Amino acid sequence: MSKKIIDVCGLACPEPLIAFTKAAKTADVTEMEISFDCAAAKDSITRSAAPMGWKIASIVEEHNQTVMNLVKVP
Amino acid sequence: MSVLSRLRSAFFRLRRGKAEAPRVPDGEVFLVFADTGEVIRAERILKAGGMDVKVMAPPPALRTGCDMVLVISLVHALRAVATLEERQLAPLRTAQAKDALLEPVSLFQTKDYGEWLMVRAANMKLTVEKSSGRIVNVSGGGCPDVPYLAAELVGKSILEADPAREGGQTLCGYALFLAARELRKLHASAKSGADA
Repeated sequence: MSKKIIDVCGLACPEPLIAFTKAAKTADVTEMEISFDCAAAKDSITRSAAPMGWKIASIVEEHNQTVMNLVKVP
Repeated sequence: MSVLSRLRSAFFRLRRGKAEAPRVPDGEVFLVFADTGEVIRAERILKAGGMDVKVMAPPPALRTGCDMVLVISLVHALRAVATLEERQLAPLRTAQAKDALLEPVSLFQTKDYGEWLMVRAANMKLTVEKSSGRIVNVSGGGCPDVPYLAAELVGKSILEADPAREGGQTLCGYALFLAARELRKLHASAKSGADA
């Protein structure tokens, strides 16, 4: 059980989603914090999280940067 | 000089050149339109008339604000422009790729992310999972129908999903349709390569 912190600021879609998907598939990762500044990434990660068994715990948007916290649904 | 007469003189120049020095005419002509809607309509009309026409990105010198041009072989260009003029859809301008030293720019950019493959067509990006062909991401655009199209397409197989059927009405919808068509081609060729 571990928390993964991912910073993909500066990367365009679909890279934030790909980074999320890779981490979400890692067996021992149960929490994730992902930071990005690609506007479309919030929607694409939100759309993909639930079908992959992840829940969004919080979203903080500040200065064009978004930080999303996600937890794996047990 | 009208578009049609410029094309006619280019065509006859090419034929004269052919008589003097036997060479295969391989020139292509760009048909430039005011907006994407006209490009889409012109492509449909010309294809319905049996003409082989490609949608491509315009070279910088030909950009008019519209992200797409039609490319047709010089030998068919005369008939194409006449057909379009009959339908009140004459191109704004035509340019010979050879004369203007212009290279057509592929409308598609492909990026391989390992397990995923992304195709960008004009302003839209479509990403699929290679193993399943499932659409994982739709991004780009700025058109009002993009969120709807993304919600409809993500999760579907690229073999089944068709952005044209899902109701795309804008440049983004059309670009997605082209990206999906290109991805289906790539997916099919990768699959046949793996099966061989």
